[in-house]
Amino acid sequence: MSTLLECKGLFKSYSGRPALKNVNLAIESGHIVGLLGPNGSGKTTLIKLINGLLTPTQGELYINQNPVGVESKKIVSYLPDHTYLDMNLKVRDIISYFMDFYEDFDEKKAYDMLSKLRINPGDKLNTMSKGTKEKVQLILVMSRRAKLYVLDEPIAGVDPAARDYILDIILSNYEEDATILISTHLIADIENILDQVIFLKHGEISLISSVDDIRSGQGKSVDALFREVFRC
Amino acid sequence: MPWNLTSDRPIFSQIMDIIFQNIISGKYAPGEKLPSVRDLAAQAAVNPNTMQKALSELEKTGVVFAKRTSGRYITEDTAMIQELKSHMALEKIQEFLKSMENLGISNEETAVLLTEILEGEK
Amino acid sequence: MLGKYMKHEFKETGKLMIPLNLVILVFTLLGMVMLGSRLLSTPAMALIGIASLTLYILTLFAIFIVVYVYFTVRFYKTMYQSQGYLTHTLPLSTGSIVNTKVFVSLFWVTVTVVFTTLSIIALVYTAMGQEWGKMAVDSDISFLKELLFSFLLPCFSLTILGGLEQLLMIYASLAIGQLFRQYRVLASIGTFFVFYIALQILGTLTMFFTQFFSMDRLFHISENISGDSFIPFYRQLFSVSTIEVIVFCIVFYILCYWLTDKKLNLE
Repeated sequence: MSTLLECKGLFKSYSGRPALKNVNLAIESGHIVGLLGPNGSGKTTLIKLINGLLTPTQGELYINQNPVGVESKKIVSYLPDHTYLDMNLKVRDIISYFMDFYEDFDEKKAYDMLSKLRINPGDKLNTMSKGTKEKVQLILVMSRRAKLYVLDEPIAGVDPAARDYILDIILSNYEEDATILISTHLIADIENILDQVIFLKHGEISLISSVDDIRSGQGKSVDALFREVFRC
Repeated sequence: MPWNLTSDRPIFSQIMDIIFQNIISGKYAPGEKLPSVRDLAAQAAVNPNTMQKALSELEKTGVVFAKRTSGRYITEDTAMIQELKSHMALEKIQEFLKSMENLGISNEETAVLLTEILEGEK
Repeated sequence: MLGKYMKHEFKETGKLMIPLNLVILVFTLLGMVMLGSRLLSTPAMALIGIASLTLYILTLFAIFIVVYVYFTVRFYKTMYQSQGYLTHTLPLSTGSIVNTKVFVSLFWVTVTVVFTTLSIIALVYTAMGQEWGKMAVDSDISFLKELLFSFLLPCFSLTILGGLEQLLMIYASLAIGQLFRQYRVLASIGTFFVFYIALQILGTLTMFFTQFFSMDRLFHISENISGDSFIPFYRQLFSVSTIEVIVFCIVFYILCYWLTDKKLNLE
């Protein structure tokens, strides 16, 4: 168990508008953590900071004791909430692309998952339905043996069967020396697979807790607590 | 299919109940090897740490035991399983009696109703 | 890792760049055949000859426009649109990414310039080859050397450097556009025009001042064309222009790098 993600006094403002305020976090490996909050609460900002797509206005961010940079990108596997691949490529081209750049990419695992879903590696991405594209992206991300997986809204806009499948992929790829950070606002559907949650409200952390503590301590589900905390 | 879990109780204790039921019903045979924590967690669609906690608690009850390198097994102690069955049956009956009470039906009335229904099913 | 990225970039860009340059090659060969076969001596054919020449020139222009538009769009798509999420999460430093993109685009621009130059030389030679041969034998070798080194070579390197400056100016404009919250493309276009106008003004001023400082040479030029004062003037102009272009290349590069490294903010 090591501190995989650490934020110290993290602030991010966009031209004066604060998006994240004084975020202090320490997440260890071996957990599935929910980053929960309504739209605009700063979830995406925090995720972009973790992935080096934004630089903090103030404060520090460490991934496996390293600052964000080339080394951290080697061990972080990120699934954005939209398609981000070159749609003109075939699936197998993207797989070889990932293999080239990520040492921890497991080609066999990727092809296994694709064949289970009956996705043809020779197909071009732009011939696929939205749902299939999303599954391909998820497969690519989960085929890496990364230390920190960051999934941004992996089940939003997805039918219940696909959702079960996605949660299944996430669970079967869980490793003790890795942590999966899932950002979502669909808590009820995902609550059972989380063991820790972070509530983000208006850019600040309003709660960090284990799911067990919430259920046994407060006697309610995370979903119920969320509705209380974020009551409109 | 994910296991049927409700939102008001800690998940690990619900998992324990489900596994107890599976043992009693024979779905998990005595002495049978349980799947790995990861696989069980994926089957149940729960967090592996939560499944781990449930299994550890189950080990404490003796109904599940761990063999050093090869994993977890259901106990072969059929007497213990019987006792578990009786215990769970008792719990269910108490629950049933309680809900009857909430309907305003006394225990005597409940007994009469039960006999009627059971005779009818013959 | 850097090598891999460059390999992929070349592969992708080559898909369009190689066919484009092959088009130049094909046109050149066709042109050489047309010119060499003396087909164009009749008036009717001469008309076709002129039409072909016009088509050739237009095609060359079009190809250059396509090259620049392609690399502009490619840079924007892979750096600042949704593909940027892939590019910037690869385990590559900002420097690797920017340098690779600049290098690859400059490479293809240079290739296109070279192909175009060779094409023109080939066509001109085919049309007037014999006369050139006579001219070469007659004239002064040292004049030719001067012509080559003081004029043609600097001209060529300035063209390439100019191409680099154009690319970097485009990339820097795209990067600056990203600083805005809305209408980023518009902001980039606006920035590009500001840069363009600034460079044009500077270019004119440079020419003016270079002339000013060689004013006495200017007065002699009308008397003596053959070369003594002509070439030194151009040498001076080239040196100053080259330095300017290099300075701007550095400025645009730094802008592009720094903005991408520190001020990245993908949609």
